[in-house]
Amino acid sequence: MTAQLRLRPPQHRVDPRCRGWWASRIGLLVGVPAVVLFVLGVLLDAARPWLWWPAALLALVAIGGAVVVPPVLFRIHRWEVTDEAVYARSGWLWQEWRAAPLSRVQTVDVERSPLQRVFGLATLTVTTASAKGPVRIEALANEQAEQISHRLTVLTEQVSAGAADRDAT
Amino acid sequence: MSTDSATGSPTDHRLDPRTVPASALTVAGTLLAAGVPTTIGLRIGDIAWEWVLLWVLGGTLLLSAAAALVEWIRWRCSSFRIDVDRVEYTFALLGTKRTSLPRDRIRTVEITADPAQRLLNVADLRIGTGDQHGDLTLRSVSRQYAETLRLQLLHRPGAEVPGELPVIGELASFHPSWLRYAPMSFWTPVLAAGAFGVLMQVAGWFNANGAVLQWIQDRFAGVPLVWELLALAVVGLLVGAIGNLAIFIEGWFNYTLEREPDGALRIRRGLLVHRSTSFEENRVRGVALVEPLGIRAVGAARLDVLATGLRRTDDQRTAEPDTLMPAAPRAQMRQVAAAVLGTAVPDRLTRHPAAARRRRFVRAAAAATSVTLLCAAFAVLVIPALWWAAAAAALLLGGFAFWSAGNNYAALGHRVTDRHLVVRSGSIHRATEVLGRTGLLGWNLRQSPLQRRSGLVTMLATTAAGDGAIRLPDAGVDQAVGLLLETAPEWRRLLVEQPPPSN
Repeated sequence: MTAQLRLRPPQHRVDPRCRGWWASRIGLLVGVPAVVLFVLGVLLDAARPWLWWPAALLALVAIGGAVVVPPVLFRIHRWEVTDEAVYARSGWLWQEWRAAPLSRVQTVDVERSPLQRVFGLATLTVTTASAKGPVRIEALANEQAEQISHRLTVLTEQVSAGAADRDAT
Repeated sequence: MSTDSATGSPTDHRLDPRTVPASALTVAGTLLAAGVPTTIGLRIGDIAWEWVLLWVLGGTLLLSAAAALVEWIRWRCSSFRIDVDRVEYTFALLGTKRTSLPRDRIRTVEITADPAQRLLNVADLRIGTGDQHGDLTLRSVSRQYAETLRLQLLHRPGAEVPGELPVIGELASFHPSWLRYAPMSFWTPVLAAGAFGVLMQVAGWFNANGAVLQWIQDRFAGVPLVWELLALAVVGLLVGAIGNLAIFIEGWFNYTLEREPDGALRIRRGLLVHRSTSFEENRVRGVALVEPLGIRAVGAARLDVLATGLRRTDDQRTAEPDTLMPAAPRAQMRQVAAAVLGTAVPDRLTRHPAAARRRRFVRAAAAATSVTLLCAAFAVLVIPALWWAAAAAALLLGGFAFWSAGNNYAALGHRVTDRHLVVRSGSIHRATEVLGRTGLLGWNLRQSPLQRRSGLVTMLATTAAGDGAIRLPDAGVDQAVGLLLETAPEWRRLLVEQPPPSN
């Protein structure tokens, strides 16, 4: 085995309900086209096999994806907030580690998509002055996202009061 | 509209009324230029001279008058004011539209003057913020006033004036020998293809497409197809090179780069349209030495600035405002880069592990294999007689892929000095990016499954300048940790002595 990145994953997992959210997202994304194809197949006699085979394939992908992918995502998605920085690890096959020092943080946002609301989840986004820099923590529990957002706002105010940094407002 | 300055409020200014004749002149000039091919076309169509002149001259006159009228209304309705902390532009026709820029967000001030404006001694002043506040163009003000405004807007009281400025005054200026680099850009073949497209388009208007192709065929009567194609390619490239040269001369003639006493970098250039761009010193985060394959082959490089609020692009043709210096000899480029940065750009960089080279060659092999398969399929299925052309193409493209892999790895490198982070990558498009460490916001790390297996990681150094990040592909995992520790102390928290068990 070759060398591994000598970094430990950030401390916390995201909310366990994320698995339901991710599963239903995959289900919707792949399952809806499958249903559409199936219904079309019912209506159009002539093209039935041409519609039902892809529909079956998509349905299989949807079920398989909804079973296999969420646990992997749950294992990879991790986050940590300290007095110094926000850390997040995300991704699936391609893993991404991000950190934003609090002295560079510009905005802290909490977002909830309709589907996330069903599961009581929220996404926390911490931006810096870089367009490529935002640290996103998907699938936090609602109240937790609010708490962290509040804590980060207080912390960044303290930090930026101390450091006159030119790329952080 | 104008309030008295004695009342204490800043005065409302008008744009310069000479903008009215200037736009009329520009429109007239454009229309007359377009009138030449129109006249030829109409004459070919056997339209009488009187009608042709009536259409062309009458049209020019009418449209110029209309342009003057529109511009006069715009001038009547526009006013602007320079406040202590804002620049405001008001346009009051039926409703009132006001654009307001906070002065502390101003990043660039650009002065441009086309030939008509130069004749009338006026210029456009574009004030750029590079963020959600947007841009503001004052079209037009007198040239002297544009100059005054430029100094006033960039020279804010209270703006931090950098402590140590290595060189004040001229850093670089145009040299005619640079003209030889202009045709080396990838725009040459693009322009050639474009010229051919325009030719066919124009011919199409007169239903002459077939005639043009026939004419070309006739020139090459009895010559093998290969030579005909080669000759056409040479002619096309020649046309493209000439076009590229013309664009380069228009954009960069009389170029100078200077550092002003307050630290701002100022670029002046242009043959017909004069342009002047200034970058405030505390917006500059670094530079990029850009060496695309073409100009690198002849020992040249281009210098770009990494500044906040500026998107970087590759398009040298439209002379993007982020270019500090057009293609010029590499040694001279390095000197200018050193003068801008205050320290020399290090030449010796830390190499990346052998796994990064392996990765490049594996990719090249994959590309070469698929190209060969495609060419073989083409030769077998479509035109068996042209099998040699397919073989040549496969050999050429495959060979290029391997050369490019080695070349890419040779360039790959990084280095941290006490003030800068230096990153070099790319083969076809090679760039050495030098980012001031104070402008480095943080790092994003990315690993693909294959990278995890071979102990590599792609790192993005995030910054407020340019595109938001500079990319360091395929660093070794230990190099990555070293870089993080040296430049971003917040990562220390996640560091472990032993590698984590594979997840």
